[in-house]
Parts: sequence; C-alpha cells; structure tokens
Amino acid sequence: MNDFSPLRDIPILIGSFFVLTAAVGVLRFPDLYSRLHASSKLVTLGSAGIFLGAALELTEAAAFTRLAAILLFQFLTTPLSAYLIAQAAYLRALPPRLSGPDEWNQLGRHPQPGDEPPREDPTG
Amino acid sequence: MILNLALVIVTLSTLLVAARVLRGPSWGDRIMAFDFLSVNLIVLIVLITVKTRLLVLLDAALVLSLLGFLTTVALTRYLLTGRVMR
Repeated sequence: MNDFSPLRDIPILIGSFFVLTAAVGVLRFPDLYSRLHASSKLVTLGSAGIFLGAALELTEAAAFTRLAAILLFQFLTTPLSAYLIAQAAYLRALPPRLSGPDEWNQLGRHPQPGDEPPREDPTG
Repeated sequence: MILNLALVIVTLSTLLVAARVLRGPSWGDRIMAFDFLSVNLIVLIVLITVKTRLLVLLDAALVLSLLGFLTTVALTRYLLTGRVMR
C-alpha cells in the first residue's frame, strides 16, 4: 500500500470492477440480448475508467494520444458491434426471451429459419 | 498493489468470458464473447503498460482494438448474408 496514488488507482479500481461486473453478467444472464446489454455498456464504462487512470499515470504525450485514440475508437465501435450482433441474431431467428408477444415482428411470431429476411442485405 | 489487483480482476473476467465462449448456446453468444475478449485483452495490455512503462505496447493495443471490431463486422456479415465481401 506504500505506492498508493489516488489519481491513478481510483479510476483503475472502478474500471476493473465494472469489467468484472460485465463478465459476471455475460456469464449469468439468460438471453443473448441481455448479455449484449451487459457486455457493451459495462465494458465501455470499465475500459474508459482504466484508460483514464492509465493516461493520468503515464504523463507522456505519446501515451496520452494513443490512449485517447483507443478510447475514442472504443466509444465508436462497441455500440456498433453490439447493434450488428443483435441485428444478425434477430434476423437469423434467434428468439428473444419475452414475457409477451414480439411487438417488433410484423409476422406476429418469432422469425423462423425459412422466413425471408426483411431486406436482402440490411447492411448495404 | 492496486495495479496487481486490477490485473487479477481483469484476468478473472477474461476467464469467465472464456467460459461463455465455450458454453455459448448460439453463435451470437460466441461472437459477443470474442468481442468482449478482445476488449479485455486491450485493457490487460494497457494495465501491463502502466506496470512496466513500455509505451510500445500501446501500439499493440491500438491495432488490437481495430482488429477486434473488424472481426465482429466480418463474422456478423458472413452469418447474415453468407459472404463477407460483395
């Protein structure tokens, strides 16, 4: 405990706690979509905390710019990848766990493997 | 001290997500867990950079963040349309 510096250690501790929470959520949640919720949001917050602590500890300009670039890229791509995984899973007939009917589906039932996807290439 | 604790915590979360990769009932769980694993590896590399003061490792973390997103996009495109490129 002799080298405790709060400016570095508190964001790193908070960030690693959120990363562990996200891992427990990914392991314990019952559904792909709720697991996506846990992984995308909590991992963004946890990695932001750890990058902030690292940038406050490594005071060189090179380290700061690289960490800022990684953090910006994480903020841009983590929601995108979660959106892509959820879209592909829903269009390829992975039914979500719901308590009622699927209100987003025009067919009134979960998409089945024989159904046509709404568009041929939804990403294009 | 706190850095070692953070390394242990992030490694533990990596092992938990690796269990999800092995168990994952569908391919969507596996893609999501691989995405999570790439982010976890970036966080581990940043923590080791703070511990050892080797700033070269941050370039590896930057490249790994680009590659992880590219892998997710390629896998989801392949599973949705049957091919990666047009």
